[in-house]
Amino acid sequence: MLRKKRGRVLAVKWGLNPNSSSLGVDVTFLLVGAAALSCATPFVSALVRLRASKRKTANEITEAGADENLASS
Amino acid sequence: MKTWLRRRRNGLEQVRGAVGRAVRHGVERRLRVEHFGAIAQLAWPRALVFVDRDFARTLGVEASKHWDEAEQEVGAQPLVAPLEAHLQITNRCDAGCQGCYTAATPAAQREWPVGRWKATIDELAEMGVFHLALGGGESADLPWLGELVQYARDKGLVPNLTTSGLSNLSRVLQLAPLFGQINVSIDGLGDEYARVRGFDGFAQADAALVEIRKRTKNVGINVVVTRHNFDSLDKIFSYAKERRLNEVELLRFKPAGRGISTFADMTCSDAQHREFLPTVLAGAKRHRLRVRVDCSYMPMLAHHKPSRELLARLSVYGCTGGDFLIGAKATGQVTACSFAQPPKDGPNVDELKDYWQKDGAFGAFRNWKNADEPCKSCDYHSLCRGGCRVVSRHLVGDETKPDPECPRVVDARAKRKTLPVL
Repeated sequence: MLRKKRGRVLAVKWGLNPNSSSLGVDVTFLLVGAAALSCATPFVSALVRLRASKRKTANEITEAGADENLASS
Repeated sequence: MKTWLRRRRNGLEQVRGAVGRAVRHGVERRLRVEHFGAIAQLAWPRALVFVDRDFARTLGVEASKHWDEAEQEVGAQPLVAPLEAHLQITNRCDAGCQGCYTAATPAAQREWPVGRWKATIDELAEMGVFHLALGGGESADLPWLGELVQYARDKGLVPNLTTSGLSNLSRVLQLAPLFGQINVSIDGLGDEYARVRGFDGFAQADAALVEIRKRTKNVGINVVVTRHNFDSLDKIFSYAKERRLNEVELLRFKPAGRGISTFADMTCSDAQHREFLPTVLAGAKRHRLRVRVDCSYMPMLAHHKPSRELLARLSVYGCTGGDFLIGAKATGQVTACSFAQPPKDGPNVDELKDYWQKDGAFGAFRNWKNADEPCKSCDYHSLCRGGCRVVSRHLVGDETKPDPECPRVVDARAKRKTLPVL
């Protein structure tokens, strides 16, 4: 049986932007560099998967602009 | 030795606490299907996680109309909906700041009532928008602010607030736990506040900040960076650390509203723009502070040639108006960003969905790939997208042109002037 590809995290946008005049981006990560970000990515990835395993309904998946939500687990 | 052990034990307890919080609350709130895969929202750590299609499949997405075309990288085409909506829910404000980008005044004109903003939240929730940034004017002056914020929460959106801290503080304090993040606008310390804003409001804004911090730890300051306060950024970072704020957000001065007439006197010099990133990073490091910068600063970051891959993985983009974000005026008209004029054929924000998918929507903001030199051949163009459209429109008269304050654009123009004419 073929094993399902696990895929990868492409980007992470950290924090919330309260400013009604811009899309704030966190530049502090430029200090720690790619290596530190590589360490954080598996952690974030695991958290996303953790929730996915608990998801019970399809309502949490948004198919923007669609008439109905598509399939879920 | 004892101190070292105690610090180490405290550190371990902090890590254990963080992991516990992650397991309990670090859950994905929602998942939105995108052309490249999907975006998952995490409650803790507070993040939007962009994943590819394979990852999205493991999360339960089996098919999508957005996956009919070949998989593309993030940013190759507009998102299926904005990440966040910047709602200027009022243009009323008594402060009268000399650089106010919305030219707010104490009087209201044809502003939307709360019902229309609730309809907007319905529309945005249906589209899959994650965050709201509520601003003005002074949103704290609205008696129905709490009703709107609770409504946004009920619909699954995270409301965030910018306030001057100069009026109706009691309302902000009462609602503080409902907001994901509250930032108080403080553009300088002491007298410098007055130099940037045109009146002395520092003591009041500072007192408000202290009170809000007592209610929530998710509080920071917004600082509009001008040529007058640039040299004081380190002091401002120190102040933010002292007040135990969780972030400082730095904003470039924009030629919009009353800022049009004061732009020439307020905008940073070319030398300051070139020094921006090293100054910010040094301050962030020295004070161990989280610093965010607005999207219009992307040319000033690119000037220092940071890793493109790192920027992309941090979702650091330049102008993403009409794509990652949208704005809305107090009268309901949708805009690509808070500083932009409403598009000619643009709808009201409570009818955004159809317009979003329309060809030519948001004009120059989405047409960034069609760029002039030096943007066209710039390695960072797919991230930067040509810099700030609003600055281009003001200084060059054409919002499709490269941002004239970008150091690379400045250099390219200087080189062109010095070339001999054959």
